[in-house]
Amino acid sequence: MAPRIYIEHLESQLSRWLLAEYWSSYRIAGDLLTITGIEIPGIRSTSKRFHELVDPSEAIILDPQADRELAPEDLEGIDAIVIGGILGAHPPMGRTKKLLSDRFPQAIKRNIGKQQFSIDGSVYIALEIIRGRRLREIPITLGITIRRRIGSIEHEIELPYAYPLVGGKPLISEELLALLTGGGGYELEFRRPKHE
Amino acid sequence: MSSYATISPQVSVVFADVKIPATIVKALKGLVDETLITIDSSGFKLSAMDPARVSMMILEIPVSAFLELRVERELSIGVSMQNLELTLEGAKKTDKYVLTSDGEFVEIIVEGLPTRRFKFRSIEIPKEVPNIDVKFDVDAIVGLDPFVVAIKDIASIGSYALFKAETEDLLEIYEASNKRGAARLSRSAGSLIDLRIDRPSSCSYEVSYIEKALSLAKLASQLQLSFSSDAPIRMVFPLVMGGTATFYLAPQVS
Repeated sequence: MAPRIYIEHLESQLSRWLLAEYWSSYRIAGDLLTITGIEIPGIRSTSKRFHELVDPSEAIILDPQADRELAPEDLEGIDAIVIGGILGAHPPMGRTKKLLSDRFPQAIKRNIGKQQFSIDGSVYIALEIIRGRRLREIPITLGITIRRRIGSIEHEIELPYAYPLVGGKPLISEELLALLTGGGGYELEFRRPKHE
Repeated sequence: MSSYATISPQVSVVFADVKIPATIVKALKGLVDETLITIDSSGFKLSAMDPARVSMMILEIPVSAFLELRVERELSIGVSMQNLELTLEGAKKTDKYVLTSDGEFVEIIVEGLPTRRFKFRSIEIPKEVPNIDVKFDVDAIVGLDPFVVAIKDIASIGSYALFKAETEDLLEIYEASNKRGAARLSRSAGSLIDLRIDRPSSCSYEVSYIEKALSLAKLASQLQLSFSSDAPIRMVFPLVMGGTATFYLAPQVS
């Protein structure tokens, strides 16, 4: 049986940004996804923590600081892939290690790259690996710039995360883009893809 | 500077967080439409007049107050308040605020997660600041908190505040039309730190302007007030991070 994907909510608040990422994750993985540590109406979620639902020794925590990359064969006998529900920092603060990996030494740790991924991007990659794809087969981009005009002002928003490319475009939800830009037109610029 | 600018900056200043620019913008918002910013090797100077030209704000901040200040050549740039306000929308307290210019364009980088970048043209603003050559008959240093409370009280009941000083131990502030809402700032109550009077004076000023300028109280430790009968009032805020903000307001026309 395929492992389930868990997002362990680790922020003290549920910001609109985080909520947009959780909804996007749900749209990607459907009911294969459970968000733990917080109840969100409309999404499969629970106030319980992931270790109350699955045996941590049968779970893989996705942590950029893990030594080894996640591969399809790692998933044999695994019940859960756990992703930190964390808003990143720039430069990264290693909060996944602090808040998840170090607290569950019995869990297996794997990375999907050494960069900070968006939460929904991590869910997408986890799902692709469950489906048998290898990490190197999944193209990613590092950093997105959202460009728009506000009257005579040129406005740019820089997101320093890594994003998987789906159909040649970075996977970022319209909901999050609307939140960041306040709606209206914009252009997305992204850097040279890796793994292509 | 950790964030790169897309222009080739001739000047750049880095505020450690957005508190200072946000407070300055709050004080100027609704008061002025545009502001002139001059950056040279000694620091940062901002001057602005309201469209009716009854008030003027001059803010001078020394180099030491900034995380970084770089000057290739001295520049004066004109910035609309609307643009400045926009740069602060959605900014988090911990974000760094970087202002750069090449003379033609102004680029503001709000460095956080995400980093936001705003680029717009500098606008033409006359560089000459009116010279306010007034001999003030009253100079006072007041505690900020009691002064803010006094002004708020007066603003709730009227449009003009009457400042009156006749003896060196009492500064009185009333609502001008019917003398209600009297606030007495005295040495004995600790609300008046110092008062010097060359000539007993009283004068009224539009309280909404004073109230706006008092947004700067957040950045200041005390307030120096100077006025004379039938003359402008001058409010000087010595800023905690160094430098001063000086606000001038014309008297009520009787």
